[in-house]
Amino acid sequence: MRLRRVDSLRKVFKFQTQLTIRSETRYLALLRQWVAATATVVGPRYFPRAALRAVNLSLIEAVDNAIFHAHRGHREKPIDVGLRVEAGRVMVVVTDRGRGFRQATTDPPELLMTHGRGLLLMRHLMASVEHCRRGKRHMVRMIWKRRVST
Amino acid sequence: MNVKIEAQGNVSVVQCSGSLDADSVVAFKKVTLDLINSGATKLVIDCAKLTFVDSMGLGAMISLLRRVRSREGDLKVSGLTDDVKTIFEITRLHRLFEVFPDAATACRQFEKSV
Repeated sequence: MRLRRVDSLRKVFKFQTQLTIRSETRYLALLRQWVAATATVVGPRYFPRAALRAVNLSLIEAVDNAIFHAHRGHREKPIDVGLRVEAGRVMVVVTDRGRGFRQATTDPPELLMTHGRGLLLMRHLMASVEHCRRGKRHMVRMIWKRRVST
Repeated sequence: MNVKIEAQGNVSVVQCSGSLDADSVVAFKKVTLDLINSGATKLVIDCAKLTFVDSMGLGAMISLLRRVRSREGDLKVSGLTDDVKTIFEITRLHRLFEVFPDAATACRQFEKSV
């Protein structure tokens, strides 16, 4: 019954914002503030604290990937970030102009390795993480879903 | 991010506050490298006021651990908030670092191991 109620709410409620930043880490704090502000605007019913934690970190990991791996120091290259809140789920889309997402393994790296935990965190925190290429753009789409108790 | 160093006997407590992310990781590395180069080998990273850490911040902490251990020292972590603790658990770093509830307890552990 609850599943059906969430589905009906999804048709009613939708909140969407978008930002474009340069490939610079100084914008990471702004991105987190933007996510927090969005959560405040829509309220905890649609953007609960569990979603805020997951979306914040997953977004930063995806943007880190765009800055360091996709754009490789080309600061002028833009990164588009979209945030869409619907009843029961929050979707994040990060689009870069680089060579795309490295399809790294999601197995945890050796404990003393200093890299290789970004995708692991994203996949653990979000219900789905998908990536695709559209022309010269590369897009990562992540979805957080509210767990529905039966 | 703010990093403050406090000496507790022969242990250096690195108090981190704010965010340890790709933007602040350079400053964190510089401060801690200067600390090690000054001869410090017993370190505690106090995360009681650390509100956010990403995978690059975790990488900087691991790099510091490796550097300290290569000089026959050790590094312990204290005061993980619930959010940061969750990230440690997902990445299994709670198995790599010795984690203590607060900096004082972590410092005492160094004394015990002498």
